[in-house]
Amino acid sequence: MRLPGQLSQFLSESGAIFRFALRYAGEVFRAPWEFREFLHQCYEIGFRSLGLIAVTGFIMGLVLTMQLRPSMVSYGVESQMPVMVSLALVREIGPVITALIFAGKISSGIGAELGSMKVTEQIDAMEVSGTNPFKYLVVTRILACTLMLPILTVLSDAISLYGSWIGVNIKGHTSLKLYFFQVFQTLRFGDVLPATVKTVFFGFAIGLVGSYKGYHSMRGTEGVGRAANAAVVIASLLIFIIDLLTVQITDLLGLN
Amino acid sequence: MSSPEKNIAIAINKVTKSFGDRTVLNEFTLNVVKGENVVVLGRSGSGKSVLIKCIIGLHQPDSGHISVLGIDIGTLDHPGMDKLRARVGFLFQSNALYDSMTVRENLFFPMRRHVKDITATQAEQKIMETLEHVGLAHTASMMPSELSGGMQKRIALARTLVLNPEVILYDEPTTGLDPITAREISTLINDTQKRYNTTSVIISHDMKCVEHTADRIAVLLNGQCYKIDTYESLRNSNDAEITRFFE
Repeated sequence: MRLPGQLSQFLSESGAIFRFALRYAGEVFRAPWEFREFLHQCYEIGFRSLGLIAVTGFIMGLVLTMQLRPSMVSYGVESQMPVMVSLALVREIGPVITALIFAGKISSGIGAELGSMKVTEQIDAMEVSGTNPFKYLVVTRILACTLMLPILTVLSDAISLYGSWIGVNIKGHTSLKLYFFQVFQTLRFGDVLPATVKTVFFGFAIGLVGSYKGYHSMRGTEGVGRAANAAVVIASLLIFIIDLLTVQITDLLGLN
Repeated sequence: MSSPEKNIAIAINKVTKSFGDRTVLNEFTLNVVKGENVVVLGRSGSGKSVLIKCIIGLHQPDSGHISVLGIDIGTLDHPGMDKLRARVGFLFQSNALYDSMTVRENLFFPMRRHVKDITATQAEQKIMETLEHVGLAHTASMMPSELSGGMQKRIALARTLVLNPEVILYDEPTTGLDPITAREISTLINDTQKRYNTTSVIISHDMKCVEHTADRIAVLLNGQCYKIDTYESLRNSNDAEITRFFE
């Protein structure tokens, strides 16, 4: 039986990404390590995304609070605003929105950067100079994404909650201390841990797809554009799939 | 007196390489003697670049053997290939300079893995010495994008020279350059051979460069080494397949 063209292509691409991930798993623990390049990527991927993540996180918290307020007031549960917002932000909205923004900025960036290195033979040049380009370019980037996204998400959550506090104070008055006291009274270990753990997988997926698409880019500059575009689309899709799986798993474990 | 085998820097024996249905190299055989410059001459798309990419291990031949500096590259694992690559320089047609690094960092990059027990001062000294050889010591802190095509070619050559390679593979070193710069690069190839005592395989169809640099010329035709001889002999040949390169 012959598979339809697109299905066959999808399966073939999925298999190739899986093999790419296996190669990463094989290389990440094997010396020599490119520690300097890894730190450089942590700076480029993590620190340089901080501004964007902070601004979007602040707006996210502020807007969510302002949108929720009328409904909360009509039900007479306005005082429960910190509870509602903190659960929504920390468990779901914060990790997913942060990951999507991170994917838009980083996955496309990695796809375009590695893609242009591929078409200008810079990756081949590394290979012939005796440096393993997979380890130098791919392993460092995937590892940096995997480690940086959870940190950025925690920061984004904190800034979102601050934005939410400002949102609460637009039409009312609650002290910052009281607001965060209510937030920390609400949040349990089971709210924070699964949400943080899933961002590790989000980060891995973003780095993996961006690197895969760039590393296998073809057909000149057009191919570089396609690699960057496909990296964002696939990474965004994977974020939702991983999110769905995480919810199922945490549900089975009784953490929801 | 050394044996003939010991004098062979590169031995290519019946190498075949296909891409899909298209056979690019068809039992190609060529021996390059230590210290000589061999130019591989062929039409565009005849498989010249594929040939030198097979020599450096970027492409795997479908059949046949390639020995570089007495080592059969087909028997090497990845670390073994990396060690051999430290002894073989490769100048890409596109230069392939790392565009996110300065010229100094580009030259330092191959040294990170292959030059052990070297201080930062010694590395800097080596880099500057190599840049001086290509006449571009003043560009050490510049980015590749700030350099002209000819300068980029020289920096790419400097990057291969920084490890003191015994063999250098040049992939169309003068393509895209104006005649004066092309002549300078050809002179630089000869100077490099004399100063570093290298063996070179040069892929080219620029006949000025071929005349200037070749000790011998191998004509690549239909995937095979059709003829190998000196520039003068080939120029005086009556074979129509040869003479059209000189027209």
